[in-house]
Amino acid sequence: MSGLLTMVPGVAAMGAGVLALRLVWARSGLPWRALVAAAGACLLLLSLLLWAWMAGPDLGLPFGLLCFSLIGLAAVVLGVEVRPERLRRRAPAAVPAVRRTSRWLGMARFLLAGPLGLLAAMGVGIAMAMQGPMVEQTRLVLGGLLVPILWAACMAWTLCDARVGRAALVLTGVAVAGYATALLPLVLHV
Amino acid sequence: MPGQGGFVRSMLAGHSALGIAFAALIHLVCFSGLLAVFHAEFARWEQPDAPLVTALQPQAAEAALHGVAAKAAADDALHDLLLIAPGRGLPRLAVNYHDHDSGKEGDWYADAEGRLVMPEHLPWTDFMLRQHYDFHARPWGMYLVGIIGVALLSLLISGILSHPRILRDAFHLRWGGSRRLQDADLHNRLSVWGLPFHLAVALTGAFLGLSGLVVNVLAYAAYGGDTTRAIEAVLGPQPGQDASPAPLPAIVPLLAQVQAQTPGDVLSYIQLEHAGQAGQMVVISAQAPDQLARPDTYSFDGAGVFLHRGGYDHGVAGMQVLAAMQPLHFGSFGGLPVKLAYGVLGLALCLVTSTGITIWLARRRDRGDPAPGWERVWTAVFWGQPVAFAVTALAVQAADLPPLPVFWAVTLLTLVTAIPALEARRLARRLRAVTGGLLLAVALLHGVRWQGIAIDPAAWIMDGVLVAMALAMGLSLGWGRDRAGRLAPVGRS
Repeated sequence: MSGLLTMVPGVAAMGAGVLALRLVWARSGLPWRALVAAAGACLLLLSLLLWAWMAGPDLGLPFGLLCFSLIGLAAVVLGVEVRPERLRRRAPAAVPAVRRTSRWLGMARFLLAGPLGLLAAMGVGIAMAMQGPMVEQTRLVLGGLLVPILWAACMAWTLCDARVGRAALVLTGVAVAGYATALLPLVLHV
Repeated sequence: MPGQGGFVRSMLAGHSALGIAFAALIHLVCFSGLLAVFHAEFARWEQPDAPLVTALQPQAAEAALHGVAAKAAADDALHDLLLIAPGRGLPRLAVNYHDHDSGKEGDWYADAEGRLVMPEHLPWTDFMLRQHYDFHARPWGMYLVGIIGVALLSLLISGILSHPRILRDAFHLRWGGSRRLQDADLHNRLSVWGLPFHLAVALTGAFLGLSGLVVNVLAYAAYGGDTTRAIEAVLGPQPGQDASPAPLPAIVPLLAQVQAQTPGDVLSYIQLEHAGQAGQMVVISAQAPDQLARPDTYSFDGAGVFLHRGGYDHGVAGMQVLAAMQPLHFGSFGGLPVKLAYGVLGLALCLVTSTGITIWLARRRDRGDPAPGWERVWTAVFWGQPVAFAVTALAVQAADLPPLPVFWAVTLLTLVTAIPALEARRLARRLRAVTGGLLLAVALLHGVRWQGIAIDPAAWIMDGVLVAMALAMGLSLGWGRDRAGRLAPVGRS
């Protein structure tokens, strides 16, 4: 029971923050609109701090972020606007760009987003693992953690960039820079 | 701002291409991951006659390890032993032996005194977990799961960058009217509010899936190919190679040493590697209550000499990051409330994946290029997962059939339902009805089978949850009958 009670301040602050932001979103004529929005954002931050204070920093942050997601989704679901079937016209949404495609372009994008992106990410990961300014264990773990993050970023960027040549050049550059940073000091010492 | 519009449309094009390529795989991993969050509850449900153990005495731990060592020796497979202490939602004392060379292994449940009572028999739960870890094909399946995690992470990045109205639309959920815009609202709202969770599970999943591959490459580069040195640098000393016979170490004094170092920590597991050999090593893992990181480890050699502390909870930053990966991925750090939150947000991730594809299909329909075949195929892929897991559970409960072939046979059969020319929404309603019926059948069959035998109340709670889910599906079918929007005629938006 006491465990549940410790959650109350964090949940309350998060709820109040989301409520303030929803008010700003729903009422365009709300007085002091910017102030309410700022107060909402501050309450969200305050909630995360309260969670960290009540549950400790390592557990409090994930608890607070889960609370943020659940309360936000609840606010969205509670405010659902049901529209009649016949009402079909709405504000236009962005549509994906139609790009020039061919089998070779598709293959090139696949190679860039897949193997070359992995190679570039590995290069940076190895550079971190070998030359990062931390203790050995931290260097290895962060090096390993960087690989999926950078590979995902490379994948997103190559698939979005219409200019395949530019993407290839940048990825090659990143890979070369990564491996050079990792290996050059060893070569120079030899 | 034409420049910004062009950037958004380019981002959307990349987001769309990657999403279409990976959607089915992402759904397979996300749905099994959603179930895997509740693996302890499913384990209690699947074998509810196993002894309930809530507290473990050191003497009982030693007795259980010696008991399983005797079982392993009788099976000529004495190599590695593992004891998993009760806790984390699973009030069971489990012991296991495993021999890497022969592949032999055995799992047992012990009672509170450490006596081995019955073999552990969790074919469905084990199948479900392996399906999530590696598609039953280690190590390549694990790498594939890691790559799927990278693709999901990439989709999250491009999804956020292609959403310039992220704050202005933060609360907009319009239901009804155009199917495309309705699904777009659902897709965007679920992904934006669930973003911290989605980022956490995608990144940790990609890291865990690719860790074997990445460790090998980093070891090759940083340690001249010596993976053992790389592993020792992170995980500490490994067992020795001296295979001459030696007596099993006494566990009780080692547990007392750990207790003296960290009073208040709770035992999580005990590992005895190269058991019965001179190079054997004991790893005791214990955790402070209310801690995010996985339990810390304390290593001892065969003579009981302390070797190394893992440093997962109070070690260097890298070790703490490493230690947070698994708990963050599986939601095992805050008891049932966190698991339920992971359940809701995991379901949201499945819906985000599904609506990503339905938006693309609706857009094709709107521009006069419908793909009714692909609409049915995606419906069958989406609903095929709950149907296949439910049929597999039925097959295991009813006849102890092997889960893997049953699962893939049902998945393929569900895809066959996409062949007849039926509107995708009708197919979805039928598959939803089938899923509800199957959940009810699983709960009823389980209840009948374990009536009078089960001693774990969790079994009945889980049956109740299954029945409630079946009823909710039935109610949603009735509710959705009038509201289920028909697809827009070709060429309209």
